[in-house]
Amino acid sequence: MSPELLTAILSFATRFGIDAATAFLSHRTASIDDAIEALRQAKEKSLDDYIREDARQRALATKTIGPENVT
Amino acid sequence: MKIETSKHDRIVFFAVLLTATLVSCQGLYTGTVTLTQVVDSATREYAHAYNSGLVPAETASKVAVAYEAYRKAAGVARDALVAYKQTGAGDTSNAVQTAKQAASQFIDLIVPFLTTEKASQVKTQLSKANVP
Repeated sequence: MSPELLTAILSFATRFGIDAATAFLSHRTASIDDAIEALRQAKEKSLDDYIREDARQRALATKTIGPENVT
Repeated sequence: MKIETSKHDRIVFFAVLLTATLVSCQGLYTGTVTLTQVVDSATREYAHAYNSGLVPAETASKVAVAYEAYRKAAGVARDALVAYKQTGAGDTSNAVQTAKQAASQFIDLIVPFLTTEKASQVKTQLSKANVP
């Protein structure tokens, strides 16, 4: 392998590696634990939970701002 | 033909390998989180439409079945990620891909009950949840 090619590859790998490491450290991307937690929540929450939650919020809004203002 | 490798070559090889692993994992995990957020947001809006009496009973049944399929797929994907975290082995990509397909089927059913703006937003986000 020529020294020029080696230098070019090393430069690319270093820059790309630093970008990836920076992204990890600045939390712009998710970790495996984030993904596991997100999937756990998705698995646990049923469609009925969403419907009940919306009904609760609707009832609260009706009480707070009046039925004529609830959409 | 014999290929001569130096210490530098091996360092470059491992640097490239490490970078590729790091980047592919980032895509999978970030895509997974985005996927669950998109489904969560769309489901909230669907629940609102359901409680407003806008969803026919037959459609509601189909939506419920599709959502259960998504939940089941999410559970399988979670187990695959947990196993991968513990052992460093296993196929996580296929499990997450199955969850994405289940999510897409669910979203397709509820899109008519979302606002135009939300439907467009959900489709864009779902395509961005680029699970490798």
